[in-house]
Amino acid sequence: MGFSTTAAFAIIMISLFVSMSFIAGELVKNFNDLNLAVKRQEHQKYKLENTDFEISGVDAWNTTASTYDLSINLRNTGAVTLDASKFTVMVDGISYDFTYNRSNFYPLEGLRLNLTDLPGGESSNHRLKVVAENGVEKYTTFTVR
Amino acid sequence: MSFGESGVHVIFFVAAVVLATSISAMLVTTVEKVSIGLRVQGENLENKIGTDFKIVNDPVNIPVNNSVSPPEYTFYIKNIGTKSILMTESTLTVLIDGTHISDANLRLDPDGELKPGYLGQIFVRMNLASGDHKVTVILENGFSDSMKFTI
Repeated sequence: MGFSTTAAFAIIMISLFVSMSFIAGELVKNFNDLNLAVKRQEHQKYKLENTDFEISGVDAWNTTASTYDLSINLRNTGAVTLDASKFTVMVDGISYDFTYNRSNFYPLEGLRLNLTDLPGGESSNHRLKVVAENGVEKYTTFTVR
Repeated sequence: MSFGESGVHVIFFVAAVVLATSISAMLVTTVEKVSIGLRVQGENLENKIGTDFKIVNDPVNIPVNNSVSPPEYTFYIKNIGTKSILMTESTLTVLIDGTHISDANLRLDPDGELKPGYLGQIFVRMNLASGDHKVTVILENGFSDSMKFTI
């Protein structure tokens, strides 16, 4: 009788130990993943708070009677290096593809974005919007020369 | 012929082991379910934390294609989070002035994953009167963004 009780107790305790190990392992993994996600979010928040740039110059010139090329000069006035390929450029509300003179847009440095064959004649006025990778956005207007 | 003392002990022992094993099996099964639940909840929370996006249209210049009927408006969304966003007609909900846009009037580019930092396009076919409107985009995890715009 005593041996039966001991054996049953041992089986239950072992299964309890194994079960607790499962839960502990899962909890540790979840906490690690969540910790990583929170750290990533804090990093994103830091980047957002420290991101700033200005449109330092816009040059637009006619290439045909109805199209023009556009050159946009940006200056990074924040403290975060931005990825040039992840900028979004919208002219009159439409997003266009562009080329850039450098991939990394370092603080206090400049970046040039070039767009070609945009629709518009000489002396036409347009609205420009530039959006950085983390959603920081700037507006300006320009006239085609 | 009757059971001896050792026979009774064997029966008790087997009964105790069977009972303990049953209890253990129930315990392990329950714990496994709890573990799966914890994992799913953890992944959901992790996804929510890493998800962020923004409607980045110029609010006074919403692109429109008037060559189709009804006209097709384009809304740009930028993934500003750390996780890819699943952009499909079944995972994305678009409301214009509070009205849900049906799948038949919705087109997406890309129709799939939108990576962090990249721009996606939502094409909505509907008639909009001149004036102010509001677009709301809701992701599958409930994260949403809204933007007021004018036509």
